[in-house]
Amino acid sequence: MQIVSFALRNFNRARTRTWITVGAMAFACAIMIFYASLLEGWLAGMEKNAVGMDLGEFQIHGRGYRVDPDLYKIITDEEGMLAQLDGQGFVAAPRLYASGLAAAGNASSGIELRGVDLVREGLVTALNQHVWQGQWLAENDQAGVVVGRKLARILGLAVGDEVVVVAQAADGSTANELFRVRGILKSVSEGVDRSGFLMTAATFRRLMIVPQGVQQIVVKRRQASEDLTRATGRLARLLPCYEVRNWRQLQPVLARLFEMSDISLVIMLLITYAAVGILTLNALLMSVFERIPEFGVMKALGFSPWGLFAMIVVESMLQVTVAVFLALAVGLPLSLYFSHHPIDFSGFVQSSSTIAGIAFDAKWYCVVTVNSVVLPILFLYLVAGLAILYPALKAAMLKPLAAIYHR
Amino acid sequence: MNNMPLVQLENVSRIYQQGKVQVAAVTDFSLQIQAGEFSVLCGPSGSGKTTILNLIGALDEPSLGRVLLEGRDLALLGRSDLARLRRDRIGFVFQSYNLNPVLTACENAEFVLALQNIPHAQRRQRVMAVLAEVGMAELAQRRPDELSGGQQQRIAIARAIVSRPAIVLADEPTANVDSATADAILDLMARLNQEQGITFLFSTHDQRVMDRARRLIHLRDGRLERDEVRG
Amino acid sequence: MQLGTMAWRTLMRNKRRSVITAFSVGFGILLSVTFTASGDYAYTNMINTSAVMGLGHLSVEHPDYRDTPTLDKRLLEAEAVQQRALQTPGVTGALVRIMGQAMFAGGAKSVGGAFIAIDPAQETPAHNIFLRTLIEGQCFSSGEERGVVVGAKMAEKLNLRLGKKLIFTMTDKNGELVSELGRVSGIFRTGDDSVDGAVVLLPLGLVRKALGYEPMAASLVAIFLEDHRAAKTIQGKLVHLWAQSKEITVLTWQESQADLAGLIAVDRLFNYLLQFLVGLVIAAGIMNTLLMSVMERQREFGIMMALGMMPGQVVRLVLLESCWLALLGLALGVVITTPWFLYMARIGLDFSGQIGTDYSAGGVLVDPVMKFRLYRESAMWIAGAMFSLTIVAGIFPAFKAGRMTPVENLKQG
Repeated sequence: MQIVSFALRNFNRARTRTWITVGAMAFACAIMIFYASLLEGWLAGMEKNAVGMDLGEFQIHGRGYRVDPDLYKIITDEEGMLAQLDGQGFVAAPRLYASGLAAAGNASSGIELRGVDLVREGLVTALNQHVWQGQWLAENDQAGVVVGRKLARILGLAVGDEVVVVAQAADGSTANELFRVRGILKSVSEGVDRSGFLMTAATFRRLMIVPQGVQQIVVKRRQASEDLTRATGRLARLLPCYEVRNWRQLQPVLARLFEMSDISLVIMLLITYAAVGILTLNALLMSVFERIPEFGVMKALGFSPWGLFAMIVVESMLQVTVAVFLALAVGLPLSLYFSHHPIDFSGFVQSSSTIAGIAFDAKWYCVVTVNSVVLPILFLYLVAGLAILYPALKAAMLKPLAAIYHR
Repeated sequence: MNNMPLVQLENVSRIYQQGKVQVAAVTDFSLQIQAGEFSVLCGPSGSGKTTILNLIGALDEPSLGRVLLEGRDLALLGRSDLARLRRDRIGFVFQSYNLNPVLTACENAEFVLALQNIPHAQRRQRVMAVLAEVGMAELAQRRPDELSGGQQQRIAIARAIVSRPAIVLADEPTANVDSATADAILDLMARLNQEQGITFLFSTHDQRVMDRARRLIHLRDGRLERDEVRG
Repeated sequence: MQLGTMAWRTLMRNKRRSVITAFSVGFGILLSVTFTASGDYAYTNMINTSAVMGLGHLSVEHPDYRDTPTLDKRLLEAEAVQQRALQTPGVTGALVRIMGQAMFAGGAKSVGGAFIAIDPAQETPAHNIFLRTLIEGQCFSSGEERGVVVGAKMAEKLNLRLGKKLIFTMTDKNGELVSELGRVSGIFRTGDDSVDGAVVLLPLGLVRKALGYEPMAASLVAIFLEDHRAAKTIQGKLVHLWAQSKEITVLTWQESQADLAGLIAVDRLFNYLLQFLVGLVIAAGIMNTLLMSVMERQREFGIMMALGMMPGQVVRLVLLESCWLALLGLALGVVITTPWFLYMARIGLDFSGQIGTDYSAGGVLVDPVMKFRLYRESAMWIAGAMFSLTIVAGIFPAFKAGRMTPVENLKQG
């Protein structure tokens, strides 16, 4: 108790120095809270674009489809499977895929045709809200298609334009039909942007002559509380005859990026705080050195070396704590503000920039998580604790007599 | 205007604010000092000696009254003019020498000349002459921490007179040295006064200094008690 | 005795404190160099990789090609453009290419993709990443008029092997669909699945014939530069050459690959912002030290002012101290940064275990080995910024020292 009150009183002694030190720590910590929230926000954005728009959390395919996709490796009993998944705490949507050629005006390009269940797709992904120009698909508009953004550019398509599709139908005949562009998607991923060509499931079945079955079922957990790997295992046991993959397996590059981000946050923390550590070390050294005679007197009066050590540690931890509160007072509102008002990079980033093949949002939100607040604070204590060791030990080891007459 | 006093204090008061209390260090004090004087301000500690030296030395401003140096009212001068005035017309000798620890004896002595932007060679020549005068020529390259108290005070005196000021203000110059050294220092200053006509004003409560003075200005509680001119 | 000497000696009075502070400046330099140099290297690498993926550092093309890259838009005298470009200083290569979209079929399957039609006599691995990453076979020669080089992923999807047939369908200059037959002479793997599954190299002559192009026509001339930073300047020179022609424009890589340019711009922005913030923390440390040093010397300042030193000279003295501190910090920075920089410039850190070899950004594969490269202007910038930061940190303490009156100072201590 005595130590704490000592430390408290020493806090205000070299006021300017203490406050500059505390201020710098608080500043660094606030910045790191903001930085960590930005990073979390970026990851959340990437995950939203990758998982929430296109991949879904899990995908189910017929055996062999992923290695060698074709029109015939289908899931035949999709109705039964959808019902089964619904009963097990999942939401699911069926998708149909085929490749073909789209031509408009003087241009043509290879495309990936996708048939979408309009009711169910919206349960699993938010693709229907991701339209850049025009509108999303509608059940009553059989000739309407929605295309990826780069594809629209390659073919010179605008909303309302006509586009011809040529493809080989399931029965071997040539499917050839005229569609009208109903909407153009915002950037989703390299693949969808460059070759995404979406239509209703009904249109797809008619065009490609696929009366039943689907190539893919995308699945999402109804509650995100279940662990992804566990849920994957559960799904796999539920559907032993099919291939079940979660998004981390489907997009290993992205998954690695997410794993890396934690490491990169820690590296950033260490680097920024190293600067703070040097500052703290210097400030504490000064404060210890100018009080050497005082420490000498305290020791002569019977203060133990470890008592002195503890006092200096408590003193600096007190400073760190003040800094942490300041950092929270600044960093948290800042992060929370930007979690509602995104930073807009559209001036810099093209709407089609991608990282690891996933669209990179030009509007960047902060996401405040436990990690983004606790890690910066924890590391500040750690670094300050390291910086203090030398000065505190130095003070603890002082010889009383020499210290009193130290000049 | 030939007999215009070098220093003139007219009804000067200096009041300090100490927390919530006002303390009068000097009250309604008047004084004239002529060129060539060798005078002493004396009185117990707290009687206002240092405050008067600071006022004359343009380091402090009076709360009431006027301070004139060579006929110029110090209150009318700006900070830079005051600094220039101190540099060119006033020399200081402090109680605890106050040499700059990072400069050698020689560099300390020539500090004021450097501030006056006097060229290096000329500076050296003048400083060495003055150091010889105070008997410190051999120790010119030493740092202050390699000198004794008396030696440091000699350097301080050299620093004060090297720019040929109109007046040298010495605040208790013998307080920190033994009596033999004090005598030597006083001899030196008396000689400089006689041979070079440098005006000295001391503050002290050291009897030896008072014995040497040709004028004793007695102070008590910030007021003039007695102005005694001898010989 | 000059103020500068005095400032230096003052700094050396508390060696430990000054050295620790200078070390923080040096550490700032180490950090700045780490951030900037890894950026300079990665950006250069990405820009150069992007260039060898088709469009070059500069591309000369038809004005409308950028917005809708369809095959009816073409340069009629591509070879002439190429010759003029090659004569421009700073240009290391200029290649005539046709680039467009096509449908590729092998056996019963077909996929959409992009093709680059090249003249095998002129293309070299240095200017073409696909020739650099061949894993099977080789590039078709000038004599092989139907050779094709495909990506490994596409070969897998279409079940292609060396010598197999590949049918490609595209829209010709009049908007008609045309098909041609090629035979696989080589397979490449860049590591990026979206590239390896979509890109095919075709012979220029065959494509010209198929599209009904004039004998000298092509989509573009890709120009390669010694240094990508010269893109803007050289673009200016080239634009001047063809100022008369309305059918020719010159685009820099920033314009033709806006995705990549935007990504680099954002990354660079963040990089600088972070450096700036760390710099502020370091500046606070320097300010703290100088402030301490000023506060404990109040009496000395009082004496000097009593002796006639002007407030301005006091300010200058403290600023000179921060100047020395900056120089000391720079020197320390060079000492601690050089070995790290040399190691990173020559060997680097291999992150392929962490991020893999297939990580791409802005459509370009990112080198998983982190290496350093520092442009001279970046180095100057770092040194200048760190120096100014230190001086700026000295301003407050300096004015604090200069603002005090001599009597206040004398009373202290």
